[in-house]
Amino acid sequence: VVRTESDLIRQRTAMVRALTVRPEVARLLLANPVLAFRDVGVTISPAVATHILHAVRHPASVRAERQLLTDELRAALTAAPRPTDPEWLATALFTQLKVTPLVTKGRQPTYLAAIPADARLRLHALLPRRRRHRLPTGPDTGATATRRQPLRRLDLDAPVVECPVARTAPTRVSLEQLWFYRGAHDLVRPLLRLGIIEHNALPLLGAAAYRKARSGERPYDLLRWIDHIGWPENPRSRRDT
Amino acid sequence: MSNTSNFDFCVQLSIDAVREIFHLAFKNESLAFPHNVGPFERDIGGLAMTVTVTILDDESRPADLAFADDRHIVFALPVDVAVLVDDAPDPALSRITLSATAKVPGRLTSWDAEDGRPVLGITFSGVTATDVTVEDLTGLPGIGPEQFAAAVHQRYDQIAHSYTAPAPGGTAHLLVYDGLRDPRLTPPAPGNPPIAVALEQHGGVEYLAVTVPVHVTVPTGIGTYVYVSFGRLRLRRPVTRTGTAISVAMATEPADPALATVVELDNAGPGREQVAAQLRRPAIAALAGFGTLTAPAFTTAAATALLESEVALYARPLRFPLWTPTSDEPGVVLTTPVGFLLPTTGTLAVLVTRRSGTEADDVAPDDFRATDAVALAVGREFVVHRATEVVQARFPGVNTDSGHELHVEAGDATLRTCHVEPASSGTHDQTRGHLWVTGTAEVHIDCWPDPDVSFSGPVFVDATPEVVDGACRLRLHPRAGEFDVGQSCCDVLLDILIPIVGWIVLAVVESLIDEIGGQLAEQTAEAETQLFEPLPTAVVGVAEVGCCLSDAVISDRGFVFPGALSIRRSGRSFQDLDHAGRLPRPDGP
Repeated sequence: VVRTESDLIRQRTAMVRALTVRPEVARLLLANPVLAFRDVGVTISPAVATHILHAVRHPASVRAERQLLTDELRAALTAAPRPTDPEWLATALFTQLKVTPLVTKGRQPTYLAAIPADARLRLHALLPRRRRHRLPTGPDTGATATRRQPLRRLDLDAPVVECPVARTAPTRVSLEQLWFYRGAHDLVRPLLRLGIIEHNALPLLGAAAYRKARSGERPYDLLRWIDHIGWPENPRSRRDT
Repeated sequence: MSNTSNFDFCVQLSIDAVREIFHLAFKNESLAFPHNVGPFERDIGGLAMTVTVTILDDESRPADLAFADDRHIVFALPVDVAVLVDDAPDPALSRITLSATAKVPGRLTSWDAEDGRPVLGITFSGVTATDVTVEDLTGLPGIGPEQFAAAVHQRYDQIAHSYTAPAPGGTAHLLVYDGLRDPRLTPPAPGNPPIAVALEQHGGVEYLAVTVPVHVTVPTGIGTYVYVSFGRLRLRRPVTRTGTAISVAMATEPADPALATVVELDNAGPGREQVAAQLRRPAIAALAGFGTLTAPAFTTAAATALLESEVALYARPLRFPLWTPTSDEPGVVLTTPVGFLLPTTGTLAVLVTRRSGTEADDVAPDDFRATDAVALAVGREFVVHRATEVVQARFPGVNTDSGHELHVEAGDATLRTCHVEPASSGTHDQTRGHLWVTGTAEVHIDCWPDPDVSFSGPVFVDATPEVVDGACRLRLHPRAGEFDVGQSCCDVLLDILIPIVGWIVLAVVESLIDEIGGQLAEQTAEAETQLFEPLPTAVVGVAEVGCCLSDAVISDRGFVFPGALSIRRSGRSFQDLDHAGRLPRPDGP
């Protein structure tokens, strides 16, 4: 039984050992670590479970930023912000913040490149040099990408795009649509940033979904790619140091 | 088992495409195949003959080819060999035309064109008569009595028709008739009989039997009695046949007395026997004037030998290009291709960029073309090599002790290893070929021992053929397998994998284009999708080869891009202009 965070630190070697002998359960750490620990006989108190679930979703720096944004928005909006909820976002935007609705349909936000500039330079250098390549010379904007671009790469610092005013306010606003309102209100950017952080958190399964993933009744997509999770003989944590 | 053998790239063409290029090359006389060569003076069987060779490729007598082994194509060339004997005794025999189909082997090899560009093509250098086979031989003249009769008639016109000899009472006169060929002869022969010719066998020897109408006037020395009579000379001359000619020496009297020349006289009056005996020797001398009758008369073996020899001489200096890798970069000379033929499947395999070994190590690749007219392959080793380079360029430190630090909002990790390799349908529980991505990472979690996570999964490359402004293009787009699109759980993984695979595909495609020709028509952002037009190559001066790729097939052997082929003749031929009614006219513009 792990009742406190101190218990967790003290017992983690034993917990790792328990997971090591049950590799099929160790893989499920990505689905829900608290439930995985329970499957190897470790009971965790609700307080420690909350700590673990937050810890695995974000590193400390992102957790701190998330808390800061949440506090700021809660104060301004007098309610817990839920930026990944499109209906809540529409209400907050048009009812509370009185933002003018815009026509965003058919427009693409600007995304940061998936590959950093230095890596792209190295990759271009790999291509054959003796022909005049027909590679695009402009920046990689993602504008013509055929794959749906991930929210994590929304470019919050890109210039604001002018959009026509809509006749009526939409009842749902996605984070991609919210990107077009960055110039409309000071709270849009923190809303957008919080939404991106929440969206990018490691998604964890609830008890029912976890059980289905464990039994194979409904596999968890992320786990399809995970062959094994294990620890070296003398496990260590870089974050301890 | 390899698509590219010890090379990085391979282009495979069907034998039908090779045929098409060959036919186009054949139409270009100045480049590859002259259709008419000669005349050549030849001594054939001791006879001076003039020989002209004509090679054909038309609807009634098409040329063809077949793959014989991994380096030889046997060409079936319809050929006419005209043989002219200037002094042939029979006008009908002065020119004969031997027709046949000659099969001559060409060797697949590479050479440098005059402009320095490498060429893969067919050469006939070193071909000898023994390498050539002749089939369907026709045109052999049949030499029978009619041909000899014609020869005799022609020779009659060239000799004297009136002869004299001493006789007891003065001078004997002998007139030789051949129908009405000499109307000046008096008296005319009753019924105007021509010289008659027949072939006979005596004692196993072939003889030409000749009956010559004559008239004799012979003073007998008995008073004023002059013996006058029509009659005929009957002679037999042995026939000599060689492989290339037939001849009869008219001056050669047979040794057998039974076959000796006979003078027959119609007038049964006194002195007939004496006159006949008296005129026999002068008659033989007169007949010698016919000389030796000779005509080209090829046996099948001799005609075959002649054709084999002439076709070998014709073909030996020839060569024609099949493949000319061309860069659109000025001054760039591409790698010399190496060709192999796969006779079992009728495939020409063009290997480009030797990856290992030397020429001595080159072996034929496996056939990956199946039923497609063309297919391009990129070898497994090359794909893995490029994939490794791309992974290392994207994640410096990966696959080394240091690893590559990854920082995303979901967490931090050290990517220790990452490999991408092509895999076949049926492996990794996948029903189609894919790029199999594997790796290990050390994940960093607060207050918890860092777990080592090993991962693996498929990334598919979707291929979509497109036609834009008449040009064929293939759109390639990587797609990670086993994910439901839009699931946020996998955004981070997808955002790492897809661009990497996109760059791998780009590197593969760029390299392929770089070596075999083509162009990258479009590349979308992040290099995730490529749109390319491969193979706009030219067979120098002969044809332009276009390619419409239809798919991208990944297997553990690498990439294969199957497709259709279009071959267009370069320039215009005589036939083109003729069909268009635009042949130049001396009186026209």
